[in-house]
Amino acid sequence: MALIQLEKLSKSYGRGNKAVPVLINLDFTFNAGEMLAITGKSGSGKTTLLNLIGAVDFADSGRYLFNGEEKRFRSVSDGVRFRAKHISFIVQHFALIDDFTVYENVLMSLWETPTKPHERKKKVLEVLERLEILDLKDKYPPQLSGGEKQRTAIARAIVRKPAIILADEPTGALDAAAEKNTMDILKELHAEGTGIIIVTHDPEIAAQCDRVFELSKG
Amino acid sequence: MSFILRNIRRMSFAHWKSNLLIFIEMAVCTAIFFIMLHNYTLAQHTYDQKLSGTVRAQRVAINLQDVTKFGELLPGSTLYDVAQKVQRDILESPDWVAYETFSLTSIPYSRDGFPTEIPEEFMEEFGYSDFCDTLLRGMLLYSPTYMTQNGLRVSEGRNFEDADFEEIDGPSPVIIGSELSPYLNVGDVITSSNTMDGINFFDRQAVVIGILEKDSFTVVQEGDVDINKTFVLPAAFADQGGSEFRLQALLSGGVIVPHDKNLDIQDKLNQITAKYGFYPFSIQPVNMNEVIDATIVSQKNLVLLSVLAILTSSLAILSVGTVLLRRTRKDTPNICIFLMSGIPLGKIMTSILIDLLFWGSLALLPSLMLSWTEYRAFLIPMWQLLLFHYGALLITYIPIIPTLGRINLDYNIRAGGE
Ligand SMILES: Nc1ncnc2c1ncn2[C@@H]1O[C@H](COP(=O)(O)OP(=O)(O)OP(=O)(O)O)[C@@H](O)[C@H]1O
Ligand SMILES: [Mg+2]
Repeated sequence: MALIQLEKLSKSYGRGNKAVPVLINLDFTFNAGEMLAITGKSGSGKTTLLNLIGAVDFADSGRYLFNGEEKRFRSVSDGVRFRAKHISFIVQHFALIDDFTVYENVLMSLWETPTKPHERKKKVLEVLERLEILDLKDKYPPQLSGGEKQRTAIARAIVRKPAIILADEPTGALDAAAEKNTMDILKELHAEGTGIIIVTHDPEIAAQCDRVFELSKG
Repeated sequence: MSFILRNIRRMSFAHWKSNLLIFIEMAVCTAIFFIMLHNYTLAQHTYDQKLSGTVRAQRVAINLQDVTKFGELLPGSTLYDVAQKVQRDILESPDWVAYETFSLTSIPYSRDGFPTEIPEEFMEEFGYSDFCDTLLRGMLLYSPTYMTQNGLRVSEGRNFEDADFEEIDGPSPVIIGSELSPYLNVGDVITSSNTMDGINFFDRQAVVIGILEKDSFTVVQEGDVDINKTFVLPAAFADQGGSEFRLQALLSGGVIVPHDKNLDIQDKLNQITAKYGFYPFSIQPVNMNEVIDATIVSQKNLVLLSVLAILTSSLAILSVGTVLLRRTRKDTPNICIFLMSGIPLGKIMTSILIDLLFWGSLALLPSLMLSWTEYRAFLIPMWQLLLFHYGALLITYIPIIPTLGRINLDYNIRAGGE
């Protein structure tokens, strides 16, 4: 069964006669454990779709089914609860808290889970180890390279073992080596059963996924 | 460490300038409010002490214009009969309340006549120590009106009644000043002794019926008279209850309190004296000036201080609120990252509130220290200060709520890279 099913989803930005439709009657399916690439031209609505999936933004019409159950997100808090249970985000610009250490940035993901404090610590250290940034744990993001920041962001995304990771151009700000490293990690997670949706306009990255969902403008 | 604590620690470093500003503003504002409150409390105290009750309207003391005429007022003479008619008209006039002035007396005191030893400071030293150990201060009254008209109340026992001023057998009633209360209780009987000014006080007894309220005083032409160490008695105790004494106490220094403040008292008195062909009176305001000044000054101060306090606190609330709002807006990218990571808005708001209360509470310290170093005690009601302080802080927090409630995550996440 599809893990996520979007039916006749529409989304426009702005109001009244200034409204710009971005997604119109879009149908979208995502199966559990799948690795999916969303591609399309710039401005075609890739980020918009990803934000709708992650309940960061809300559709104007259409149905959102998660595990066959209809979801109605109305407020920021609905989205927060939903993400805390099922979804992690990775964005192009990392979205790290500059005044938190690498350790704290990763720990952040576990604060709302029922994990016990000493287990949290263990889990965070494990993930940092796995992403080879354990020695950076007491550093602050401004002291890191782009690749290290992205690995911190990935660590934060995976530490609570979500069902799905949503990645919006995760390699957009990285060089070739760091890009490969990031993709390797994502593929590894996929192999472990985590569902992954990557927004990208790089055909090479799309080719590494199980399936490609192409958005055409309008 | 939970999110809330970590976030507060983060904000303390990241927003230290804002926090310092909040601290200083709240400290200054609360200190001003504290000083205002303190002055208010003091003024209130003065007011309670000096101006309690509504009885102290403008009042005048009356006297014969020619004081030598008193010599002619001998009981039995025609003039004496006329004077008694004048006395009755003055006492019974519907235009005012009139009462006799008090007279002071000294009560010879022998140590064995009292249940408890009374310390030296309550004694009057007249050098009569060969007659008795020493003398106590006594104040003689002619009617209970004196007590009510001067706002003199008892904190224990009862006040004087009309019956206390009639001919009575047995001990005379006495009301004692509050400072005497450690030595005498209601119901105690004191026995005077020896002869004073030709009066044989030997075995004369008085029973304590009441204790005056703390800080009692009475006003005469010359100013306030402290009566906290005084024994207040009906004049009969010192053989001065006779009608000639009562007459004298009214016509020479008796007090008139008009019902209508604009009443021409002199004119009314002239009508009475003209009616009986009696000597004219002069009137003189009883010295209430001090008291009236005190009221005006403290009322002015209170208004001024209140206006100042409202002004400063409004300014402080406005500026602390602005600082806090700007600080929170600047922190929006981080708040969005928290929301993306699944941390609920409620917890984020709580951490901001606790942070504010923490810095705000620090701002209380200067005022508390001021109170302690200045007065060695927290003189003012603490709850008022705390209510004001935390009330102001909570008001500054209010704009945060809709601002965070309206946050557009999508928009902020897209803007994240820039
Ligand atoms: N807040 C907004 N208000 C108005 N229009 C918006 C808003 N956010 C996005 N849009 C518009 O919606 C359209 C889709 O944007 P979106 O970011 O989803 O595109 P994208 O496919 O991710 O593009 P890119 O590949 O450049 O990231 C764009 O035309 C954009 O201008
Ligand atoms: Mg995009």
